[in-house]
Amino acid sequence: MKSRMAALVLAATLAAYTVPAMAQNNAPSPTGSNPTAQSVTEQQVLEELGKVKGRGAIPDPKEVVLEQPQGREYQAFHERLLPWIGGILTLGMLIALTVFYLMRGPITLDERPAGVRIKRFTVAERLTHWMTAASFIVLAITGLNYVFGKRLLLPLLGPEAFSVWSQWAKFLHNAFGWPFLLGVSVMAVLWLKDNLPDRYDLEWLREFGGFFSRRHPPARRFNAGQKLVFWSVAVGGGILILSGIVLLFPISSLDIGSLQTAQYVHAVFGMIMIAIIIAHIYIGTIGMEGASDAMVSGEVDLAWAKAHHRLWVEEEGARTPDGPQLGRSVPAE
Amino acid sequence: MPVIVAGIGLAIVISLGIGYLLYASERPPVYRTAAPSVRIDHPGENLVGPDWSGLYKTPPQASEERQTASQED
Repeated sequence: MKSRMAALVLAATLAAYTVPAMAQNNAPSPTGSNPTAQSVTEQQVLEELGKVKGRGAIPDPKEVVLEQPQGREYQAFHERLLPWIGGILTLGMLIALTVFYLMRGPITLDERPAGVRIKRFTVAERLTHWMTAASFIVLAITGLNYVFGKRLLLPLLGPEAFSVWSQWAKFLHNAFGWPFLLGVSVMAVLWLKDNLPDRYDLEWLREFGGFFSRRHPPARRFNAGQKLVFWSVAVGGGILILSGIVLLFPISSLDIGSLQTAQYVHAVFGMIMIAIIIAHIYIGTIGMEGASDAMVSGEVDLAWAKAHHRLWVEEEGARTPDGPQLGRSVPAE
Repeated sequence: MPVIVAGIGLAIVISLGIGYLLYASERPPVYRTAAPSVRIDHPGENLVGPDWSGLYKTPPQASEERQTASQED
């Protein structure tokens, strides 16, 4: 009531100054300016009623946000749209892979094992891969907790245990972003050359890697499917890292609106990456016979290498960063 | 398998190391710059010395001082 009275008094005071000004002659002054035209009108005074005005005393102007209507859109995204996006992407991928596995089964090797083991990945490559993989799994689990935790875990754990878990999840999410950054950067450098597109990729994609035809399209060290995973990790991971760093140091360089934008990007790309990596884990384990050997022991059977990466064996001598392992005389079967 | 364990271990070491640094940098300045403190009521750990009983001695009133002075005269 007091504030309303104060506003009315303010309006009356301003009007008292305004009305005489309006009554003055509208003719321009000798200097060419028109003070009457620049004076406050009654309508302007009325429009100011009911508005919160003043100066924020917080030194950083980015932090002086009293009202932010966009926050409602952000909340709608975070609380309603994002869980749907995440649920459809992750569960959809799991269901699709399950159906594919039940229909097709694992991709087996038609040829008999040659009994000759060749190096597929060096120690440095595998170490980087597993460091990044471990980091991503922690990031994915703790990231999903942000979206689904209070819906799925809170009713099971109760508020106290869920609070403790969520605090640790937040710490782990912030901490494991750094080895993920390092791993993605090193992998991008190590595997960039072998993941550049070539003319065999279209054929591989056209035949969908032979997953249904049971024929293995020719491929060099990495086939088109692996290249898609590589570029998804390099680009998607890069976007996650950049947006994650923005979120890790809030208000340090951007305002609240930009932080919300970073959160949109981080959350959506995080869900997409989780879905892609679920497919990657499937094909690297139960989806393809012999595929896990490459990253576990670093070696694969020569027959497996010829079947899945024929050009890598025949044209490149099974070259790794350590150099080619085979001569050019490897027979094509 | 050793490479898998090494990769997981490397991820843990890096995350804990940088995580600790981040945690330290995120602590409010009042905690970062805080010096070891003492309790006021612990004799020997405050400015009044080890014999301080914790009791506040009332200074003599001015009227009492005058009375004492007149008695001395």
